[in-house]
Amino acid sequence: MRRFLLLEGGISFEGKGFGASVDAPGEVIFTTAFSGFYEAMTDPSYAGQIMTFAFPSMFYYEFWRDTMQSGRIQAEGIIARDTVIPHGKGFEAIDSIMKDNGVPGIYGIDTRKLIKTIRDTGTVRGIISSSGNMDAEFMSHSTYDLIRRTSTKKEYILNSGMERKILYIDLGSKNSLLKRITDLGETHVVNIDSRLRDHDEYDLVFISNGPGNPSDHSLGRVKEFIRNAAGNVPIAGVCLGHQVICGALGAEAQAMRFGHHGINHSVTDGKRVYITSHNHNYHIPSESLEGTGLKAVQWDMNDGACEMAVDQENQIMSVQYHPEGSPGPVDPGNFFEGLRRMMFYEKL
Amino acid sequence: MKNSEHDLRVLVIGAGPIVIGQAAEFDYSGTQACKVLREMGAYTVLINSNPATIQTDSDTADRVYIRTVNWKNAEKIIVEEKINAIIGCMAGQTGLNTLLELDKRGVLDKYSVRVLGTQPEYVRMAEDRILFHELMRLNGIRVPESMNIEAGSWKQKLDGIDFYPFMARTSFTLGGKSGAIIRNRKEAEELFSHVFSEGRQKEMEIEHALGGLVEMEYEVIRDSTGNSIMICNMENIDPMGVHTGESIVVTPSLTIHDSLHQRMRREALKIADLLRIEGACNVQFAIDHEKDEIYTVEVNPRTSRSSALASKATGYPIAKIATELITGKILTEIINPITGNTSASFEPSQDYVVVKIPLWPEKQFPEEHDIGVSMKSTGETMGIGRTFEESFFKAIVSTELDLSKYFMRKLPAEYIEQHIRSPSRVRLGCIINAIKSGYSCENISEMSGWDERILMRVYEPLRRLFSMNREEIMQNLRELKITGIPDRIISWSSGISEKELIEIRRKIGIFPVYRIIDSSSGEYRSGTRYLYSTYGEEDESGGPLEGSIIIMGSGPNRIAQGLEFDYSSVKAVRYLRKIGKKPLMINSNPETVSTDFDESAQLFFDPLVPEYVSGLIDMKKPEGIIVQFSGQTGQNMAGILSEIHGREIILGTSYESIMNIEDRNLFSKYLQENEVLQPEWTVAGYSDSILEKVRELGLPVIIRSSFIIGGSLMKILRREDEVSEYVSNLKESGSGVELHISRFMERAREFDMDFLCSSGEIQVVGMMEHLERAGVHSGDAISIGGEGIPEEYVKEEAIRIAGLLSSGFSLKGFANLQFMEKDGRIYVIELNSRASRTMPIMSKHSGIQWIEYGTELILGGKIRNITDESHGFYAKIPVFPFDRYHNSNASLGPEMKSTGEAMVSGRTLEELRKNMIAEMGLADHLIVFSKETAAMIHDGKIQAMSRDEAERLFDHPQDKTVFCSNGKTDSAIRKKCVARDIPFITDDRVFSFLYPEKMEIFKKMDLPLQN
Repeated sequence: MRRFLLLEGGISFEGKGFGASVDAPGEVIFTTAFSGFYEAMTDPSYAGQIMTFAFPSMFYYEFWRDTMQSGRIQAEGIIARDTVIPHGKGFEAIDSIMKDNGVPGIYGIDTRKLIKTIRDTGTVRGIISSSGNMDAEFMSHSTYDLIRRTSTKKEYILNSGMERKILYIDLGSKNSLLKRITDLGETHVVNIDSRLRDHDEYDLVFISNGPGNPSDHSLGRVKEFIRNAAGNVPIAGVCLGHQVICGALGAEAQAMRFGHHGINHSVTDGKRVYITSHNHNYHIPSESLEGTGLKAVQWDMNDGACEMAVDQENQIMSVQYHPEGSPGPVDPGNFFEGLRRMMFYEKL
Repeated sequence: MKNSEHDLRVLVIGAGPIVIGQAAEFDYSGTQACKVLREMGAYTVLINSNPATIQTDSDTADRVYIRTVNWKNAEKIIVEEKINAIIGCMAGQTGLNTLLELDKRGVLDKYSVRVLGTQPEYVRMAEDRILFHELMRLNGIRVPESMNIEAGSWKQKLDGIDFYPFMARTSFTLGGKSGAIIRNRKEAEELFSHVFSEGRQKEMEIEHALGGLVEMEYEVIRDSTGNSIMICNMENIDPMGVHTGESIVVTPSLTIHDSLHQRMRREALKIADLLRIEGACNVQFAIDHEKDEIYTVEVNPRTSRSSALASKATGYPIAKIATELITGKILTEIINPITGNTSASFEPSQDYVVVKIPLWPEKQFPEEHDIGVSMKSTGETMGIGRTFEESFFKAIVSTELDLSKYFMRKLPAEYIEQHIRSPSRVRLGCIINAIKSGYSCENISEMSGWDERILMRVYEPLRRLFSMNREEIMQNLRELKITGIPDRIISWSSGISEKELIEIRRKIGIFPVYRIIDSSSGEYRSGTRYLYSTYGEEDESGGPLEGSIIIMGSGPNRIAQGLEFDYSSVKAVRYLRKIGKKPLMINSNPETVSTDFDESAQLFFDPLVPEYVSGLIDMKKPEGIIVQFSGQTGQNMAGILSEIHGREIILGTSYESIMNIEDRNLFSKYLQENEVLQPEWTVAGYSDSILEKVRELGLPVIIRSSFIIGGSLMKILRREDEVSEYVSNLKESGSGVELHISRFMERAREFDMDFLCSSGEIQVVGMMEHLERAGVHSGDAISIGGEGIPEEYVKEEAIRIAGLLSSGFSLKGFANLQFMEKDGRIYVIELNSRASRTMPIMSKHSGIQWIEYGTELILGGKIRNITDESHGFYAKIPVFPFDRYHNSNASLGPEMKSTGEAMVSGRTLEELRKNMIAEMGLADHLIVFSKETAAMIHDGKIQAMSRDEAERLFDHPQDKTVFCSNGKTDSAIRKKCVARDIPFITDDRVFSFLYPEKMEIFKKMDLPLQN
């Protein structure tokens, strides 16, 4: 079955369809990771986005439920290069889940050409379409909708009874990240609409990863909460959480040309270099931290953006990359170790 | 350290002759290392005895010592050149062993030489399996169960072994040479009694053999401050039990989840840390999916075959970056040479897949098909495609093997099942045949141990292809090409010729396009000139390139077509760039310097078969293509390329001339017509009565077919029953070629002559005389050259004949003539209209840039009349892989068997002799066998003994050298020498050259010497 990827600006690609037979709009991005397809596809940060896999030969290995980073495939659509997708267990499972989740896919298109287009023009809006009709309306998803869709609907508590208490603001969290945090204490998981008041009850306020634009006004309440909590309770965050924390304290998130999506990005603390898992379309330029009390202590090797921000006095620490891996290297820059120290032993 | 870069005087250890387990990959890494050192201003000195390398080119280092690689010679150079730093990690096991020896003997301390790279104590820890296992276990890293067995107490330990099957190997191996799989107590007893009774070894470690598990490799680089990154991982398609050098490998891994991949990656980096690796290392793992366990199997604390493969697979130049790291830089300071503006500390990502397939010398060593823990392949080839299936199929045709029989008809079930079940060099062919024969994917996977999920990707496209008839293939050609099936495979399957397929594709507009390897999947803009072909996508090669010239490489390293050709192609590439041309390199060998993307204007990593070469011509519209550096591959392809693209496309000697030279019957006819002497000859079709023709000619004869690589299918037949056997074998193989039969001239002297030609004029490059008599392949003979070799009258006649042939065949460029002398007359054996195997050696002896001059002629230049003013003598000493092929009878003949060669020089013949003896490892206790009797000669004393007594001396092989005066027939003695690593000589002429003073002794022994 023929299916098309249409890009705003008039470029189109034709391939064969798999997954659900529906049309889907989204921002077209690409990931360069050669492993961890299922983790990536189910990562809520990809909500609102059509995911292009640069690595061409996919779905060789079985789909495992425990690789899922959320309850469903979160990307709006999936684009693969493979010319032949044979009947293998991996493919069959993902094809049927995509159908169940209403997520369309295309395979057999020139993904390298597509990636170079995105690289040269920047992230572009597109539609996966069965008709190839270029009159389609390119739309963007609202950050609030994406966060609502991908985060918990109900507030709940994990690891009840543990000594330390954590407030976990779920903006569209990956399962593996939540798991790492719950290991540290009783975790109260709340969402963007929850009433956020008594930070004093907690030993840590944690802001998760998630989809969308960190400067979106819908995140205003969370930022205000962070500003009030700062200095009173340790605060930490990952990815969108990092951007929200920095944003709350006065830094300005910047939209990147086409984002970072992959498991091979290098980050340095000035001495050591770490290979990290990235998945973000916005970042915090290091100079933007001036006056916030936060200091950049790890940087992206190539664009110099802040990868880890720390305010020692006020016990704040956040990272742009994904220390939980899944996919990618796990905690290369010792974030979780730092978190543990911050909560249990000593000041940073 | 950084302040003293300019005071750095570095000795780089080279890898020596090409042997199995140590091939062209160390020319690549060693040359990169030298390049980096010179760029940073270090005084760079090299020791390597391999003349075929680019590394030993005078451009590579400040001083190049073409000498035997051992600690003694290294020490001399350290003193002479006031060396203060040494690099031993760019030359395989030879490099490490030499480094450790220098360290052990205190040479490094004595002269304050700093080791650049992983320090000797850690190298030892990685190499000594006992220490290594200890270190791993201490740090919670799982290694296979193991036990140390000592010569004195092996009997007691025998009962304690509870992990069969186990692998027995000695430490410090080369390509797993001494590995064996032991299945039960009885085999263990046999092995121990064998190994320890010979007294060669005092102890050995045995370890649980993890046969059948999935094998993975991780390539890591690490700097001295502890930063480390993984360059890529590789999945061995053949399960554990097959040496990684013998296995088909895909990179990156396809069948494991990210969590498992990350576990191994983390462990690999941890191991690199524990071993304080500086530079590159390779870590091998075995995965037990059932137990969810990973075992660390081995670490190579150096650049390796795998790191060369990883460099070419990812575009990340491991040896280059590693050299920067071991000379004191840290990862964060280095710019990624691929993008030019990002950091080198990143992990490459691929938007394509790479498959490596090894190559075995099947024709030269037909006896043993089995492969296993010991390496037997001579080289490898790599396929790059956009998808796994495309790269797999491209790798298959890159082998340049004729696999048609596996595609054309169903072979006996018993045969294919046997070779699929037990690892074999024909396993791949048999798997293809099983697909053709209708075996299920699951069944083939179960028999072979190949992952079904991987096999499926090849299985389905092949099933579809096999089901198509000619018409359906034509209708679906575009789809087949996009699926990644090369013309050659379509041709094997359907019988449609490759030429017809190319013509049809050109007519309907299906051309290959080229994609860039940028190590970042397109994420960063890159200036690389490294490309591969695919179908149905956008082209990134930039289209037609004015001033471009294609140079065809020589493909995978194999016997008779090795590194020598790569030297010549790289020299030609550099020359073309120097004169402002744009050389485009096409080659399929990941080990080589020619596939270093820094060398050519653009590098196209593609199979050397007509489809891809023709496609490249169509895309780049070059001024022409040079096939003279491509060995026999280019000679064989000149015809089809001329037919498709016009005869002007071949630069240099035209394809008509190549045909007339390569077709032995036409060539012999030409010689006859022009009154050039040659052995008496005749032609026979295989239906003719060959025996009758042989009788007419008179035995012995040399029998061969036309168009050959390195004398394959060539045989010397001495008796009538041998002729009958040859004929019946020939009928069985069903080969329909014409045969060329010539009288074999006994006891003639053979010579090699290289020369350049243009417009009927010639320029002599050099001549060498074989020490063995005619009948031993020129690649296998020990040859010497220099002042006064050969005698003047021989020279003159050879030059006269070369001139005649040059104008007769309108030769343009390189040529090589093989001829012999008997009773004062010169007979022509063979002419090659291409750069020969001996070009590098002649270039290095004379110091003249012969490749440049020859290339100039190919482009239309005139002969320059260069005088060779070099003095002294030189010898070429071949090395043989008999130790890998125990069933071979270790004898020499018209089929080439050597994998590589060493070069030694001497100002006088006496000095040459001395150096030859050292290079060959000949020792001072000579054991001489004649037909009836034997003797040992030492210190000028002869001790006569029986043959049995002499053979018992083999039990203590140290310091022994064997000479079988009737060598050709004494195969049992030769095999024993091979098994015990005793150097041996079988040719009396070689012996008398090396030991002229011993001739007296032979007279006394009454040995049948005729010299």
